[in-house]
Amino acid sequence: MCSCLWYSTGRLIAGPTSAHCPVTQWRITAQAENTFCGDEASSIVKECVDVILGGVDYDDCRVNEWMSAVVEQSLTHLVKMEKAFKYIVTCTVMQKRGGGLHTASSSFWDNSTDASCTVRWENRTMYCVVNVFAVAIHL
Amino acid sequence: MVVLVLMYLWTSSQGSTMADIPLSPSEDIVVLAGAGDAHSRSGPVSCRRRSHSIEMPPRQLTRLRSIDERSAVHSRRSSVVSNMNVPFSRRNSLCPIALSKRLSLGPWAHYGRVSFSGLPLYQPIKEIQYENTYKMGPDLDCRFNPCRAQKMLETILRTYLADTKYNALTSGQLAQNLSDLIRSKLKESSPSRYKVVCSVLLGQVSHQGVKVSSRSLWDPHNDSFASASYSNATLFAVAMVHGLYHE
Repeated sequence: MCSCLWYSTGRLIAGPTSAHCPVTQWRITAQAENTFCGDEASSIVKECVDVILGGVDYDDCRVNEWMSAVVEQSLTHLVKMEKAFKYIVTCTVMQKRGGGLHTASSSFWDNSTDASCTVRWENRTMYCVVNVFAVAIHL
Repeated sequence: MVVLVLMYLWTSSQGSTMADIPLSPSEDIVVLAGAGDAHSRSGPVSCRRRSHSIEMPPRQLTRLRSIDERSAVHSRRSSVVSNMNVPFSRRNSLCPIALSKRLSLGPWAHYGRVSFSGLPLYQPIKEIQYENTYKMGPDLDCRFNPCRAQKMLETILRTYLADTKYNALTSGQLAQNLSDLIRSKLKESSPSRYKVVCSVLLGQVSHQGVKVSSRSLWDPHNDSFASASYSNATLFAVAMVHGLYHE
């Protein structure tokens, strides 16, 4: 987001002739590719879950289908962000019957490039927790 | 001689900085307890995350020069003068105030070279240049081993949860501890160039349906995962580990 702003102002000042400088463009794409925006990812996942599980009650037979749809659609949307990451998406659906549920995650990775986000969603009959881990490909 | 001492000091300081890598796990916990829940009976749902990485501290090479110079001077003097503790023993014997005067010159006085204007002259920091490895992938027998990881997960879950009963207050911490334990065990056993992501699910058994699924976008040749589950009368647990190759 920041880099885009900088790019546009730079072009305004320098004029259209220097807008195609290859070095500047490479820097901008590298910076945009290497940052994982957790808020953006969680909003994507939340939207997917809302669409798929929004109006349904827990059904043991159909939950497999829903879950694979949630995981697959969120992964597709994450890939559309065109960032150099490997993604892991895990989805947990639990029926609401008074039981507690705890999830914990722990990773050995580079904190400066890799990130994760968690989305917790529930309706009348079930809980849904989606974890997204983004691991950078480049150093 | 001076150069040799300098080299020795430099290498020893390198060794110490490598050994002092701070392995401080940064922890961020997201507690998602169902506070405004319509079901008063329904238990808490919480998510905890912890990541662990190696961050190299900035190298401090600037002081070495001064240490080296002082030690060189000291050693030379000590061979001539018998008093080892006072480097300026000769001046000291002449005028005892001179030592205190010299020390009160300023903080730069201890840092070896001082420029004409009184500012310290730092030596340029040498960067370590690594050779290229020319490795495009993991070695043949150094891939993430899902079978061994799965066995490890099963053993850990069985040993730590065998006599445990579900408790809404302590189970969150238990899940976090389990995932930390799994991460540290796998970190020891997994080959180099692999990043490890562990996630643990711990829930109460109340005859409900639970489904866990996972899907990844990665390199199927080099990356892999393992999972294991365990359940007893009061709780169930699912542990997943993903190993990702990075260059």
